[in-house]
Amino acid sequence: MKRFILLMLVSLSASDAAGQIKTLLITGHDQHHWWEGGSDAVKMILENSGLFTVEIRVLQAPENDSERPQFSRYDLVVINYGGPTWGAQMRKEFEAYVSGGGGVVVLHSSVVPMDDWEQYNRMIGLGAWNGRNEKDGPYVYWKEGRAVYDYTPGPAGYHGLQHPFTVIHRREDHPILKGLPAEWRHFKDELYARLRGPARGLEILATAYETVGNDTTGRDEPVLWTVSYGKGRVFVSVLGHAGNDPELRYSMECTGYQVTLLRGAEWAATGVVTQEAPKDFPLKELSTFRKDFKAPWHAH
Amino acid sequence: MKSLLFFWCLTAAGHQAWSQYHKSPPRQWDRYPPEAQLPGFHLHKSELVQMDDDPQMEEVLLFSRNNGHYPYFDLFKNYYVIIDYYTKEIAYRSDVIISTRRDLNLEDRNADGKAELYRSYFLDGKFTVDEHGNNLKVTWVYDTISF
Repeated sequence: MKRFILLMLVSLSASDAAGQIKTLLITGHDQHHWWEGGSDAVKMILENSGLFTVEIRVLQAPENDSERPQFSRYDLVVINYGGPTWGAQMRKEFEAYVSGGGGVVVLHSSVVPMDDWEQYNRMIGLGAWNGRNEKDGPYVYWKEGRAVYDYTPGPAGYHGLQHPFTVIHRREDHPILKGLPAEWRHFKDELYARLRGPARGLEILATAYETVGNDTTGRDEPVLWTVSYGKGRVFVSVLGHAGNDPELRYSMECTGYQVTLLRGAEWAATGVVTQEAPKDFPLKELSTFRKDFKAPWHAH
Repeated sequence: MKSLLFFWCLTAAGHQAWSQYHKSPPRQWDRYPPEAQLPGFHLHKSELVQMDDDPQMEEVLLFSRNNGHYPYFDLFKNYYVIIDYYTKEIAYRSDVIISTRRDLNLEDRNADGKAELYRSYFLDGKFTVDEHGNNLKVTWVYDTISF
């Protein structure tokens, strides 16, 4: 009975009256990506599951604080953003929201901006480009069954030409991954590499082996991870490129991308994952798609 | 008269000796002249081959940039520069072409001892796809650059 009451309290605190997770999606200012289409896809993925309600907030000039949202109104904040560093008040309120137990999902190139915001770097765990280097923390990758913290000096951020690759789960018992195939084929995407950052409270959930291009690392690079920040939970997925050359989002049509996003978002907001492993999840040698950004009839 | 003859021989020999050691002005760049690289393009690959009757080799450089990512293919803008390997003078620079490939295909198919550069690209740089970025339709052009 006690467990039941506790479960009820947890679900009430994390959801709105209809039992859905109230989500704020912050986006805009990303000249390298089709952020409008990408954010639209994320909204469809989350809302079509029936678990989330999503409000999209496009930031125009976040550095002057006038656009800052009321974070406490939401169970989850999804960041798909590539612009200037938020204003001091907005930063302070977001830090308080996350450290107080708020859930956060950080998507793809959102590990690039706001490199001068120390606490954002702490929340995302690992970042890339924008001048990040050894001053920001170690390179982190997977080798011989464990995470390696590599303090070699050098710039952060690299990706070769887009290509399909195999995602390998490193924490199969984590609620986000539990029950899913441990290796699966992700459709054509940018594979980020040479990620580095503070990496405190970081847990690598999945990696992919990076082999493409003249500057390849030849390492198992993190693609999904979590970060604990105060009482807050952060889920980061660097999968899901939405191109602006042209405006296409085929990487986000991958079932594996959508399912891990859905599960990571629920976990970040509530600490638990109630979604069953779907039957349409990709396999080791097989990519599968949800082109309408919703589960097909045969998924469950 | 003997002194004049001796002086003349000395200056002539000196001039010849001086001529042997004459050198060209130093280059400020490394592999290729900077004018070989158009803005936004980067060197993708290069190959050293014999393309003409001159015993000096030629270096063929492929400069490339991305021109769009689609689900099942990528497009690239390419152009080729041929430079004399020793003098680093630009002998030829091609027009910019669009292709799904970034090939540097040098072969001596007519067996005359000189390599030809083979290219494949879209006619007038034009192509179509459907709304999902699939079903590429294009007229391919195949041509050869030779000296």
